[in-house]
Amino acid sequence: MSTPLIQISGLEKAFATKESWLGQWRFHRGKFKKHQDSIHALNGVNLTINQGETLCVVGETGCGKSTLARAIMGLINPSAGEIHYLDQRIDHLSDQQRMLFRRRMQMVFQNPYASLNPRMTVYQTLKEPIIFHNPELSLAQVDQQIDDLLESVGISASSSDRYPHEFSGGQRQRISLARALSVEPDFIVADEPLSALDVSVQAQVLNLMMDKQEERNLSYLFITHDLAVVEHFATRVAVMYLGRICELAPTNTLFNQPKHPYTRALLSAIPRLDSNTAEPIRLIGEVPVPTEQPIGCVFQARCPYANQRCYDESPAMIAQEDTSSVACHAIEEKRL
Amino acid sequence: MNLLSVSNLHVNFHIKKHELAALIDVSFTLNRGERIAIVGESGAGKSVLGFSIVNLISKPGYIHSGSIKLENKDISKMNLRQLQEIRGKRIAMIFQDPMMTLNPVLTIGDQLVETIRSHTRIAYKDAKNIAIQKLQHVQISSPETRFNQYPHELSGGMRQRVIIASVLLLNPDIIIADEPTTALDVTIQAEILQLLLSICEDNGVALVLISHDLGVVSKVAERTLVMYAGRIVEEGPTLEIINDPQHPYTQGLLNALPQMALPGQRLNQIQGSMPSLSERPSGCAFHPRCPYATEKCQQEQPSFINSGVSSVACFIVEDMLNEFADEEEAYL
Amino acid sequence: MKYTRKDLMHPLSDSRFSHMWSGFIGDKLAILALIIFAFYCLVALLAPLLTPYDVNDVNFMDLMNAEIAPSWITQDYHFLLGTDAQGRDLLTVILYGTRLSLTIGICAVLIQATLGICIGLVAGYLGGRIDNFLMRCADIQLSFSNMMVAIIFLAIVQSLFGLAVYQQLAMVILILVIGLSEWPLFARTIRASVLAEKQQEYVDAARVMGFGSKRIMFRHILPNTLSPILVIFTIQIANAIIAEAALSFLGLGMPSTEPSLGALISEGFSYMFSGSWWICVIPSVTLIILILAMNLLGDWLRDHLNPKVYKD
Repeated sequence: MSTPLIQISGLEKAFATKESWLGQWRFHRGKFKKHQDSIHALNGVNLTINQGETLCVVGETGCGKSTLARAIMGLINPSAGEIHYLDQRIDHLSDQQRMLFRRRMQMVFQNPYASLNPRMTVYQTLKEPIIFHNPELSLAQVDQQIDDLLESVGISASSSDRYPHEFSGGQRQRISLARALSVEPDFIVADEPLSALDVSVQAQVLNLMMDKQEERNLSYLFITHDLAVVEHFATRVAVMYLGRICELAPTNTLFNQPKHPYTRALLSAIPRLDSNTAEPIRLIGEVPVPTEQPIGCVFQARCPYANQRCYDESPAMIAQEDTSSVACHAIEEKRL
Repeated sequence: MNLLSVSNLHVNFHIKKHELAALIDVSFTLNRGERIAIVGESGAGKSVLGFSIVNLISKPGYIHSGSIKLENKDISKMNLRQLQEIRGKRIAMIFQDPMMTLNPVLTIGDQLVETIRSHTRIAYKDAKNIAIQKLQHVQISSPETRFNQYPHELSGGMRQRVIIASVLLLNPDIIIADEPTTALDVTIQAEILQLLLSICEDNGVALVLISHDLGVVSKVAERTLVMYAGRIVEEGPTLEIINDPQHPYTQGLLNALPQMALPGQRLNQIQGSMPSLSERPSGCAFHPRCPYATEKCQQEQPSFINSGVSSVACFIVEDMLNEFADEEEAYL
Repeated sequence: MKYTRKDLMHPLSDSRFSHMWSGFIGDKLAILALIIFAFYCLVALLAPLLTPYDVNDVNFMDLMNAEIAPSWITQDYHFLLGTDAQGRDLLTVILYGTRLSLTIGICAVLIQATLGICIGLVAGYLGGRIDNFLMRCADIQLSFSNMMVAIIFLAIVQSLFGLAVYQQLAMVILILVIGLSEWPLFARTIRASVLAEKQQEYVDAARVMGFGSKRIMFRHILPNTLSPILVIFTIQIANAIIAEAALSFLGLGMPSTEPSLGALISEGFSYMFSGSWWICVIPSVTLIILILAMNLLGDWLRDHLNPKVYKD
């Protein structure tokens, strides 16, 4: 059993939709009442990321997977719950206290066209974090490190004086990865790093990430909506829906025996080249916007197997025999 | 009689006194009700081709030579008024980002009704009925409510459905869909593709699907054109291309799909990246990335040959075929 | 795995600078504007070397020479552009006036820009209450007519300290008044672009790296908002010069012993109809050409620094 690196328990996040304080007041039955609309992006997420593994979080747009990534990285403060790095609690830290963990945890972003500062050359982009975190290094050492980094992600070191717009999407994503690696982290959150890239370039970036993982014993939290990618890359997969994890399983188990009705639907939607795959399971409706704290199972509205219990009671994650765990009443009741 | 036939199309970009070729000698035909796909990495010129078909190339690009014939009329030589007759009514386009096409300050309904009324003289009420009928057609639930909503109130998949509905309003003969599902989730992507397929089948509409993902294409298109650096490198029936790709680039594209590698293994990537317009390699443009490239590939442009599976422009395939034929001769 | 040299990727196209430069060469009007502006700056810098007469010379101001017409009328080449009502050589006075006007304009806009940029950055990046407070301050400032505030302020200073002191400090006071009155323009523009840039992922990337707010604001966000700043900067210099000219014209600006372009025009205006039109017209033309060049430059910058235009 590998050691847990990051532990997340009961993580919740609600975003207020109305910002101005005037907008919070509503006229209701002859009285002014303070009322704040909010969107519940995370509703109690429990997750453990082990050392050296790749945990993929899969879900549709609006399921809260990006919020989860940003909460772990401390870009937003969670409303409730705890995040532990090894044995230290890291949510609600001040920027200063968090500094120690910045070197350990890094992030690769979704949009390669926005995640690099357009007014900084590649050299400047990489030099800043290295010097910031290692002020004792001499300039020659820093230059050497930058050259090595660039070469190791397959970018010619001679092009380090160029600006991001001169690179293609795939090249920029490599530079993003180089920047994340520049502080020598042991954990990288990748928030849909492939979704803006062509299929052929996706393969390049994915291979690079796998190379780096082997070289540096990295752990990844890889966020994506594309299950096809996950199959190759992940150690374990967490399927997320409306701010909750509904199934967590080792990759093989998940792909061979998906249990949760939502996982089954997701898997059937992967475009396969062979024409004899089954018809995709069509889900009714779309992902709702969670303006209220959900009561019962989050998937109730779109689930073909929902019964009264699913509407009343929220299912707990129950460990199955094959090392997966599922939050579904239908599975628990052996209806499915 | 082909519905659309593009022959020897050259599109150039005139940038800083340089002539950069975006499309080189592109020829293909499209029959009534046929569904074809144009596949390639970004920068291959597939979107330029899509835009050229409706003569929507904006400066600094222009159609240098060649013809685009819709039935018998050459689109590349039409004036603006004639083009407006064709765009929308005969050939419609669907783009990657539905928000680009929808006006954010008008309701869905207003935009649909306006489209109908700008082309036919019809009362608002009748136009509304048509619009709602089309919304139903693209499987939008409660179309009366959606009719009065603004684009930002809909999800990405829903917006793309609205776009498809708006395209259907004028009963076009050809729909050009430029990466219609790239901005969408995988689950919704499957649904939208299914919808496009069924709509084309039901109404006898021809479809040109532009995509970078052969996996997406395989479900919808009957015929596939693979493009690289402004040229078509392989053309043939989709299923056969997928089962037996001839051109090394097509092989590379297919092999790069995650499902082509064993789980946990490295994916088969194509080395390097698509050259920019100004840095087009000599000979076969794919040779710097091609694992089989010979000296001949660096100097000469291969011409199309029929490989039995598809029509392909590659010296390697040509040599192999020749060898095969020689062997056969010797055997006989 | 180490990548072999063949695998290493080279980036695609040429640099941003070359694009700007080629766009610049293509636009003849922009070149002309830049040449004119450079010429003005050079002349202003080198004024003491270029002028035919020494302003500190006792004989510089000689009433005997008053109101001599320009050389092309009199055929007298002692005074190229004629002399003004006090008998000073007009060319010399205009050169010094341009120097003063440009100094006041540039310094005033530097104050505006520094204040505006800092306030705009802080308001946009930190948001919340600070943003609200700072922007309301800007609103209040904008709701006064700048000219009115300047007039009242200058009038008060004049009557408080007396004319003699005022004349000594005129330049500093003018710079301060014009500089402090229009910072909200900068602040608002910066804040708007900061709000847009803040959403970009590279800001998140910098935060993830652990950089502090100050570093992110000034090293990461500020360079990306520079294009609108540059545009406003040029146009504001033109505006500041006009404001100074207007104030001087109203008698609240530079004293006649040390005239700026505006003060010259104002002074010459009273001789306009007595036949000595050159005292007013020549400084006016000088001013108009300067302002026009600045505005053309600003327009060109706006078109070419816009990344959206750049992308094509």
